[in-house]
Amino acid sequence: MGLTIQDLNVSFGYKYVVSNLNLELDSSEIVAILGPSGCGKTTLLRTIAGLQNQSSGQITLNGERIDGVPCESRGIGMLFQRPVLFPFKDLLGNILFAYQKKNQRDMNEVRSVIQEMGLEGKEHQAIETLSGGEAQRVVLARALLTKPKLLLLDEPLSALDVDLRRKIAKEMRLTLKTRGIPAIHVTHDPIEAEIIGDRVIHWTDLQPGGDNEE
Amino acid sequence: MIRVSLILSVLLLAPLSGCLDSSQSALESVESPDDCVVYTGDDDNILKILTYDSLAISDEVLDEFTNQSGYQVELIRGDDAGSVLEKMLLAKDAPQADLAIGLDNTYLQTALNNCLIAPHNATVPDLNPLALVPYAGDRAVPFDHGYICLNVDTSALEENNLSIPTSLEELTDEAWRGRTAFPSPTTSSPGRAFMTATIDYFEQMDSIDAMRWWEDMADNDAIFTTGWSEAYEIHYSGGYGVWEEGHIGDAWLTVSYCHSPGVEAYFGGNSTISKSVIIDYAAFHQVEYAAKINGGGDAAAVDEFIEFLLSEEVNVEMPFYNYMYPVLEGQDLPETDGYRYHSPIPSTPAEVSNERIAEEMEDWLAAWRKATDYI
Amino acid sequence: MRSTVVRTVPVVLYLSMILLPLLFAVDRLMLVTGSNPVESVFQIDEHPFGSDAVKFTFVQAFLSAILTLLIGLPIAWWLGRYQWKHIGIVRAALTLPFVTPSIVAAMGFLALIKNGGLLHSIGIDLRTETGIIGSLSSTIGVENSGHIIALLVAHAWFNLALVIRFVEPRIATLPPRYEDAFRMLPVGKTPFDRLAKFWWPMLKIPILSAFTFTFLFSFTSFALVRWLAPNMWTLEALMATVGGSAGIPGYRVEVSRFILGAATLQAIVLIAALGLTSRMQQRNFQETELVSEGYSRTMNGHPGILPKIGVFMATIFALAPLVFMALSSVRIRNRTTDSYRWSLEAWEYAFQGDLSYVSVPEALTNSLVYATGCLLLSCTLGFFVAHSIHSLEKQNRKKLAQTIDVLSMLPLALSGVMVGLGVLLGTLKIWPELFNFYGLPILPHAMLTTPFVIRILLPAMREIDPDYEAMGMVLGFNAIQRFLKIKIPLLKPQIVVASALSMAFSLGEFGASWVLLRSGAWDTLPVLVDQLMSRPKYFELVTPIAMASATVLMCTTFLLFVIAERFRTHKGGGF
Repeated sequence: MGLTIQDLNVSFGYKYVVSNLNLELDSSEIVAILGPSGCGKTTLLRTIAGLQNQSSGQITLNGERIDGVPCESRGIGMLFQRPVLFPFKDLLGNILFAYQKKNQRDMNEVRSVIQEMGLEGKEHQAIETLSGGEAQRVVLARALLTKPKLLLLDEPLSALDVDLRRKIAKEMRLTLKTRGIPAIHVTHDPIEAEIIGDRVIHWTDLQPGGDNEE
Repeated sequence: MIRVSLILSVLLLAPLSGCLDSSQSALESVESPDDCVVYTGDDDNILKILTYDSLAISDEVLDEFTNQSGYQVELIRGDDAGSVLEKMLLAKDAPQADLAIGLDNTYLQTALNNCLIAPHNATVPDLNPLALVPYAGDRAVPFDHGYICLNVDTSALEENNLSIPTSLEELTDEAWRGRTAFPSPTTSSPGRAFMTATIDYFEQMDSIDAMRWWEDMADNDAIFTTGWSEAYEIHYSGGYGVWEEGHIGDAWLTVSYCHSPGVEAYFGGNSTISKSVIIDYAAFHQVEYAAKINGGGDAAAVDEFIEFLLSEEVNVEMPFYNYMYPVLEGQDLPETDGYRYHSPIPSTPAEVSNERIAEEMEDWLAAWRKATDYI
Repeated sequence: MRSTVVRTVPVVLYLSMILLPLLFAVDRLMLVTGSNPVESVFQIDEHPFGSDAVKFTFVQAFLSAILTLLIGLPIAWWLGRYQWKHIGIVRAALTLPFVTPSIVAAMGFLALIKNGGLLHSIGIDLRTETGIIGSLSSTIGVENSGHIIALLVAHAWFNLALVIRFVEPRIATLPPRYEDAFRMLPVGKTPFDRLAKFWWPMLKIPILSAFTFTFLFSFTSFALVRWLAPNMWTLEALMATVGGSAGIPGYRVEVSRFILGAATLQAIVLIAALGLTSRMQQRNFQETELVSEGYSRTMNGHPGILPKIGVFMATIFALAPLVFMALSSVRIRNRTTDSYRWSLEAWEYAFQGDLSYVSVPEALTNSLVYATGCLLLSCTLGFFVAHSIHSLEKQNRKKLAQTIDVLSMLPLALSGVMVGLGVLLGTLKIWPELFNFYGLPILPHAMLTTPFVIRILLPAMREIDPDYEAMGMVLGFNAIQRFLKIKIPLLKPQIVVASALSMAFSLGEFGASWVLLRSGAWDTLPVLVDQLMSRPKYFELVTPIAMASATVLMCTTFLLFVIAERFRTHKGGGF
C-alpha cells in the first residue's frame, strides 16, 4: 500500500523534466525531497496530483492506478508554495471549501482542526489580514478536512523566516503523523527536510541526470 | 476547435445568403388596385397598428377600445406619414401590422398601386363630403382632415410695412429675402402637400413653372428644413417657437395648417399673432386615412377599430388629439378660445388627383431638389 | 470535448450575432443599389447633402476635439499637479458628463441656451444670434454659427472627462526628479523649452489618445447634432434621418446608396482611429516608471488662485446643463402672461403619460427590461468569448486568440445608427417576423456593449493566479463547481462593473433605438424624450415634460454608475 511511482516521464514539448523516475512511499510515511529550486520537484508533485499530464509511467495509490484519473477525483491534497486562499471568503469560508456540499460539513471536526491549528477567534477575519504562517495553517487545515489519501507539500513554508518555518514544520509533522497521512514534502532547506521527513531523498538521487530544468 | 467555429459560421451564412435575393420583390405597381391579390395574415387577437409619431391616440383611448372590443392594441410607429408608407413597403412580404393609420392623400395612391392595402368591411357613418373628395373607395377611410397653407407673423409684417401676401409670386420680392421657411417635401408631409399645391397654383395661374418659382425662392434665401417642426419652431417668428429652445425666429412666413393660428389661439388665451394666408390654389386639402394592410390579420378587429375611430366620441376629439378637423358630417373645430375663429377654410384649394400625385411625385421631388439644392 | 463546446458555441453565437445582420444589411443595400461598399463611398456626393455632411462631420469632429483639449488640458494639469481637498468629488463631477446619455446632454444644453436660460440671460444668445454671438457670427460668416458653437461646446462638455482621465494620471504620477533634472539642464531653461522638450514628449500619447477618442465620439454624435444643430448634417444624423427609405428595391435608390457609402466611410474612419489609439496605448505602456500620485502632488503643494478658479469653473461647467435641465422641468413659462411659474405639473403629465403613448414609468420599465436583456446577453456572451480567448492564450494558440480578439472588437467600429440600420435591414432579410419581436432592440444594444464586457473581463481573467484553479481541482471540485465557486466570485468586481456599464449604455443608447424602436408600447426613455420634443409644442408643458423624462433617465443612469464605481477595484479591468 502507499504510493508507488514507476518509470515516470514528464515532458514539456521535447524537453523531459522528469525522466524514468521511481519512488515508493509506505502507507503513512513522510518523505522529504531535497533539491534546489527549479529542478523539477514541483512538476513531480503536480503530476502526482494530476495537475500535469505525464508522458509515460505508472502511479499507484493504495493499490489503485491513478494516472488516468482526473485531478479532482484522485483524493490527493496539496499545499502550494504560496498559500492559495480565496479573497472573496473569510478564514472560515476558506476552510469550508474542503466540503463540496453543505450537507457534508462536519462542524465539530472543523472547530477541532481550527483549534489544533491555533486559529480560534480568527474565523471571520478577512484573509488579507492573516500573516504568512497563519495563511499556510488555514490551507493545511482545509487540506486535512478533505481527508486526503496523500498530501503533497510544495515548499509551503519557503516564504516564512527560518525560525517560524522550522517551528511550523515540526507542528506539521506531528499533525500528519497523528492522522497517519502519508506525505511528500519538497524543500530546499536541509534542516526543514530533516525535521519533517521520515526519510530524506536528494533530488539528484531520484534524477541522476540532474540537469533538468523546469 | 475555434477554427471549426469560424468554418461553422461561414457554413451558417452560406445557405441563408442564397435565399436572399429571391425573397425581395422589387417595387412594382399594378394598373389598378383591383388587380391586387388580397391575402390575409394570422389572427392573434392583437390589433397591430402602424402609425406615425405625432398621432397622439392616448393609451386611455386605446384602453377604451380594448374594453369595448376585447382586442389588445399594439402600436408600431414611424416618423411621419412617409415612414408609415416606407415601413409598409419594407415589410411588404411579411406585414408588421394589421392597420395603417396616417397615410394621407399624397401617399395613399402609392400604397394602393403597390397592393399594400386591402378592402375593409367597416360600417362607415356619414362623413363630411369634402373629406371624400380625394378618395371615396373601400380601401381607405378618412379619419381627420385639414388644409395646409402659408402662415404669417402679422406683427412682423406690420413692423416691416409688409402686407399679407395675395400671391405666391410676391414672395420672391426683395422684401421677403431670407424671411420664408419651408419644410422639405422629401422629408415632411406638410412640405410635400404644399409643394403639390404650388404645382397646381402655377398651372392655374398659367404663369411660370412651379419649379421655377421654387428656384426663385431659393435664390431669395428661403430657408429649407427637413421637418415641419424645424421650420415652425426654430425659424417662424409667429408661432409658439418663440418660447422654445433653439428658436431663431428669422422667418415671418412658413408652411403649416390653415388652422394652426387657431391652435395657437386655443393655447394662447384666445390671442395669436399668426394668421393663415388664403390664396386660391395655394392651399392643399390633406385627408388622413385609416387603411387595412394587405396581408395583415385580425380583419374583424381592423373593422371595429375603424368604426371606433369614426365614432362620435373619438372623432370629435381630433382637434385636441391630433390638431385636425374631425371628418364626421356636421362636426367642426371647437369655438373655445378662438380655435375655430382663427381657422379659415380655403374656398379654392389646389386640385391635384391622387393618381397624378402617385404618378408624378418622384419626378416633382427630383425637380424640387434640383431647383432648391436641398434634400 | 465538452470544454471545446463551451469555447466554441459562444464564439460562433457572438460572431454570428454581430456579423449576420450586418452582412445581410450590406447585401440588401448592394442588391438595391448595384454598387459595392467601396464604390458607394465615392458616390456619397450624389446625395444632395452627401458631400456637405462629409465635410461638416470631419470639421466639427476636429474642432470639437481641439476645443475639448483647450478646456480639458489646463484642468488636467491643475488637478494632476496640486494637492486638492475633495479631489474625489471634483473628479466625480467632471466625469459625470461622460456617462450622461447623449439625449440628456442635448436636453441639458437646450435648457442652457433657451430663451430665459442661463446663457441667454447673461447675454450669450446662441439661438437668435444677437449680441456677442451675432457679431461673431457675422465675422466668421457661417450660417447658424450659434448652433455650431453650442454643438462644439456640448461635445467638449461630453468628452472633458476623457482628457482628464487620460492626461491627469500621467501628470500626477511622473517622478518629479525628471522635471527637476530637466530644469537644471541648459535645454530646459525657460518654461516654453520645458513645455516643448519635456512635457510634450512626456504627455503626447495621452493627449493624442484623448484627441482621437473625442474626435471619434464627435464624429458619430447623433442626439446632440439632432437637437443642437438641427440645420446641420453629420453623416450619422443624415443616415438616421433618411435611413427609413433605404433598402427598398426600386424606391429612392440614392438613399440606399448614400447609406451604404456613409456607413462604409464611417467604418473606415472608426477602424483607422481605433487602430491608431491602440498602437499609441501599446507604446505608452513601455514607457517610464511611475511614482505614487500623492508624492508628486506633495512636491507641488496646494493650488494657487488661478487653478482654483479654473477647476471651480470646470466643475460648474460640468454640472450646469444637468442642473438647468432638471430646473426646466419645474420652471414653466406661461404662454398667455409671459411669466414663469414653479410647478410640478409637467412631472404629473410625465408620470401619467397624457401626451405620449407611454408614460415615464412605462418607458423606464421598458428601458430597464431592455437594459437587463442587454446585460444578460452581453455579459454572458462577453464572459464566454473572453473565456475562450483566454483559454486559447493559455494553450499557446496566440494567433487564433488574437483573431477572435480583433473580430470581437468589430462593433467598436460601428456607430449606433449603423448598428440600428444594420439590424433593421438585416433582420428583415433573415427573419422578417423577428422585426415584430419587442425584444429586438436588445440585439443592437448587446452588439454595442459586448466588446466592452470582453475588454473588462479579459485582462481580469489573465490576472487570475492559476493556482486558484489548481487548488479547486485538488479540493475535488469538478469543472462546474470550480466555475461557480471560484471563477465567478474571483471576477465578481469586474462582472459588476461590466454589468452596470452595459445596463447604463443600453439605458442611454439613442441612435440604434431611434432607428429601430418605434414599436409604440416599447418606447425607451431616450426615445420618449425625443418623441416628446418632436411633438408640436403649442401646449406649454410639452418641453417641461420632456425635461422631466430626461431627468429621470439621468438619475437612473447615475445610480448605475454609483453602483459600478463602488465595485471598481484597482486591480484588473483595464477599462
